[in-house]
Amino acid sequence: MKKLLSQIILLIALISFGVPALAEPISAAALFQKADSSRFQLSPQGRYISFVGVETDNPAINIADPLTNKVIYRLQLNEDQSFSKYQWLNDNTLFLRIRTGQDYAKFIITLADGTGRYDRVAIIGSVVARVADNPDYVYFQQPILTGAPYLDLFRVSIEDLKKSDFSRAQRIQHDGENIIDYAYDAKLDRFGGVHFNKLKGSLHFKFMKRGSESWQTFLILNPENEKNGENEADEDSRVVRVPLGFISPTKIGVLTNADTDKIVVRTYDYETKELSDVLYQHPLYDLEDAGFTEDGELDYVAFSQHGLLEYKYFNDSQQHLFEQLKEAFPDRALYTVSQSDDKNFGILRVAGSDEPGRYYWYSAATKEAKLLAYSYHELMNEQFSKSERIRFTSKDGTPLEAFLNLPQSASNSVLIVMPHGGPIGVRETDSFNAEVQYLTSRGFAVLRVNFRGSWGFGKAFMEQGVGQFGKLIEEDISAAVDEVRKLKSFDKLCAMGTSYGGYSSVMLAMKKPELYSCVVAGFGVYDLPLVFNVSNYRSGESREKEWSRVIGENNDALLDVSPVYFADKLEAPILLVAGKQDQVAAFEQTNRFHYVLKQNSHPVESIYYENAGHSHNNWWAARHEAAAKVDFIYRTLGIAYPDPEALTDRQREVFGEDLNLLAEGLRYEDVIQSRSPSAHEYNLLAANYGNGEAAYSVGSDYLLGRGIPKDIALALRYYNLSGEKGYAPAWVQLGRMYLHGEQVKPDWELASSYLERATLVKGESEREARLYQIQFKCLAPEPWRDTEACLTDLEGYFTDERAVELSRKLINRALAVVSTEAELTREQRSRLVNGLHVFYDLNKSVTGLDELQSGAFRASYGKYSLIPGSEQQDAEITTISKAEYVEDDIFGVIFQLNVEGTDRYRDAAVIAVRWTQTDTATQETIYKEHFLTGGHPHLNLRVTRPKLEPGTTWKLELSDLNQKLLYQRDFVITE
Amino acid sequence: MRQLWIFVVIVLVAGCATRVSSIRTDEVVPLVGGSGYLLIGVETAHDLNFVDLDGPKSIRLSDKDLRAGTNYILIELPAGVYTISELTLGTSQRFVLDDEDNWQVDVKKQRISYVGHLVVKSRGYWARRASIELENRSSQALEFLEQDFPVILAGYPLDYGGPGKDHFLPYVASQNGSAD
Repeated sequence: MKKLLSQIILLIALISFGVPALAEPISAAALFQKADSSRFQLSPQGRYISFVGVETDNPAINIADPLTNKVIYRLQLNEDQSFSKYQWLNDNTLFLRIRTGQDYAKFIITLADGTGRYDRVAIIGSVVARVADNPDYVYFQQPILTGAPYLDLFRVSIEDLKKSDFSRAQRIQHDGENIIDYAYDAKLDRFGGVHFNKLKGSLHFKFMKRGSESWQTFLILNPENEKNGENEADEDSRVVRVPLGFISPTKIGVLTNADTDKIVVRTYDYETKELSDVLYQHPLYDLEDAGFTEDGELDYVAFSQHGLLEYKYFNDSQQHLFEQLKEAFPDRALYTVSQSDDKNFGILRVAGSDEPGRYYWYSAATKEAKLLAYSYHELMNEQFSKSERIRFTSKDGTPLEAFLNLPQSASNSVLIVMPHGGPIGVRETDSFNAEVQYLTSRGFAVLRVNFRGSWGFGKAFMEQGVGQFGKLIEEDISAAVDEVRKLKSFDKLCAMGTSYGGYSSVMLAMKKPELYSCVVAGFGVYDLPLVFNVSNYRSGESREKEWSRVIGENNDALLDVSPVYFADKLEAPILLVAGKQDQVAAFEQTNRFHYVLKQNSHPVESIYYENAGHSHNNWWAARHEAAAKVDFIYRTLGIAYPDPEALTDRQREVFGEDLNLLAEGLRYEDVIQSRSPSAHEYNLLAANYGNGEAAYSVGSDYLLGRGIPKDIALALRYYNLSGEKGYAPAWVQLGRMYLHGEQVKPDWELASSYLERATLVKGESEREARLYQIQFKCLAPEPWRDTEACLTDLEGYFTDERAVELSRKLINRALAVVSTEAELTREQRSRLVNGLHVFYDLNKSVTGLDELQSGAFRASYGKYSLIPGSEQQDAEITTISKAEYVEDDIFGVIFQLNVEGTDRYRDAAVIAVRWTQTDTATQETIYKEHFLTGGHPHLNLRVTRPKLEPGTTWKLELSDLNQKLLYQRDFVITE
Repeated sequence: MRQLWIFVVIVLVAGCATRVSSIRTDEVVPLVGGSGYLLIGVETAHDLNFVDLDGPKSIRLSDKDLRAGTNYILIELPAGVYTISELTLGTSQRFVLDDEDNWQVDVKKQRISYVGHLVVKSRGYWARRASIELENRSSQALEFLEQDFPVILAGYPLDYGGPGKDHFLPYVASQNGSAD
């Protein structure tokens, strides 16, 4: 064990060595993202480690040898796929369930000869357990009929599973007991089964000895009735909160608070229906887990002590080992993530307030341990704020706990008081909190409090919070604030929270207006009676019962603690954040509060996320919200963003990223903001901090005249700045502009140089630039032209499936450009057309267009129809006045292809499309777009553009693959 | 939370309800003694065809009654308790709301009664079932009237006439000195 500890300590020392002395703001993108590595498992014998890693934004299951740390097999998913579940069947076989959209597919990975292979299996159901005495077999559960909720249980060989063949499988249980889930207890050699009684809403836990055919019910839980506080709960439900498994033939271990204040561990004899005496009770905290030895003795208990998961072992040597580990990892929670069957090998996760998570592999036999991975690789060198644990007493003398996180470096002397959500049955922990770290790394101190109502401190503590909205709960938080202010001094205080925390933040500022200088309230409730009457279905008796256990009785007294009805008491400026799709705290709650604040001319800002519910469903929105909150506090308290000249490169990068997020939020339609500074201004600021993406947006503003006068010289300057700052799309944009002569005179030298620079950065820009380089070889004059190389390079894509998968659209466009613009010899043209026929599986050439409609179109029930009066007005020009159309109208043509010979559905042909946008007044080219479109001759093809931009003309040209013009029209857009 | 999943009934719509005209212009035309204004919001992923209400008068509201560019319908009706009974979407999906108690709304005479937002959520274009709720969004309805019908709003008091009790609109009225 000493060796294990010394190695772990050495590792910690090595890792700490790289930490910079001066803390810097931590990037929102690094903090608010999916973990790089997660879901570690050991194979049953401990021979392999498996984990889900996120590389190139897509998850992959990795299988590695723990001794060499070498990944021997990796299965990478596509961007729309995720691993829903996976488990080892034996030391060489892994069973996976992969989700694609709403569908699930199952795969088996087989390892052999130092590598692996995967097979998709066409089976419904899931693995219950491995067969203890035969590693080639598993217990497997399947629906009794397709779509049925009840399951059959089988013993099936892994080889048959791979073949999706159940003809030789042994059926252990069929239908009779209406089981919805099976388990297997190896110690007692029993099968477990859960039956759901739909009428009573109760769960019936049963078991059956292997080899027997009779099931015995040992526990009935009634979760629905428990939740609603009804008295119909089965007897078991009142005594068992969490069953921990069999500890003897007639007893199960349970976590319960049936007749104790705290959740304690006891045994429950399901034959006599009696609970044992309390086996262990913590004096302060609810128990969260417990384990028993093979002999049925209590092995360990787990509880959160001051927010950190702690274990207490009842075996001296194990307790000693745990204490040594705690010494090696002070102020960290240790989680055993996975163990081999013989417990000789394991994987440990170590995390804490200033540690986002690390995984260690260990061998108990050789006393070796080594670092496997970081949960967030990008964060490995960051310096985090470590929580200070504050113990204090409330006004009524109740002991309480709180967490104070101070800034890592320079402080702006602002304390953010951050009440948690809930408020009943939720709590703060001392685990890593990305939002807290985002704030502390920008100079704020953050205080979080486990007030009355929080979970983990016993029933009485939790019940004391019920109905205490705006009362005892805020008194507890204020007591914590007083305690902290005795210890540290702050110039300003702000209250910030989400859900109940949003409500509480408002109430704190209303109760102590002299103390709080700003409020940020997100996803909150501000009209408590409305919680009981959200809609016709979310109202009535059951709603009253459910919510009165949190808010208290629904009566007029709630108006006294509903901020909507005394909004004039709020003095501090406030930012309200909400999700328009919130089903927990309805958006109407926020809108009401915003309405009355506006009526009172109170300084209020709002940010509403169109697609968010009670929280965000994408990382961008979480990052934007964090940046917007800090921006609001800065502006409200008069804190300036630091001078970019005074910052290190890295600090500039992070502040630039924040400002660019704010600009993006102002450009996105699904972020609705009350305040409307121009995105251009934020982008300019971000560009000053060296943000390449922002400089690109500024360049595009100047190029397109978006909200500012058009200025091509400035556009080129900002695109160049963007590229210099490492934003490769800027080089692609410049290369394309000079290649196609968009807004500038074609310049082959410059086009070549910019495209070359774009290829130096791996990724989408590189792929795009390479396709422009191919076009360049076909279009440029001598000495740059190299038509043979151009065609050869294009043909290379025809056989490269991966390239096609990544760049399908770009390849289509390049082919269209070459087909439309390039001067090819007869042989070269023939080579191109033949290649296209093979690539797109074409069998026909186009001779003309049929059923052509031209003008403006409007969607109705998913189908576009020509708007009367917008049809062709003369031979070549269609004028469309923007004033006569609505936002979603489009313009262009809808037609069918006329092909040589008889029209058949199995025929396929394509044509080339060229759109050229020009300034109607100056005739200068603004933008060009090329693509190929086609299909069978009965298909309606739509070649349209979505935006009506007055002052511009869109020339549409449709040609066959031999550059024969089939149709041409100018769409002149006017005001 | 109770959630009602209502199956589509693919039958021809019975045509016994009267078509009424929604209010297009913002002007105070004295209401007939026993009538009031009904204001309802509609939120669906697909186009609305009809909403049928039974009460003192059986009426059918259609997508043509929606205030242009908004998802609100404002109409004048004889005062009384109405039951929203059916809903038809542009996809020809017809939903019969047969649990009457949950769909009763109250139109008071000489007042504007906001009865809620009819929120329809279904999965996919041809989904055979949908979740339909009548949500209380009083503040959003008030903002709509302030924006589109300020004259009518100034001329008549605004009430919540949907299911359950709500304090918000009376409170706003009291703050504006227009409580009665």
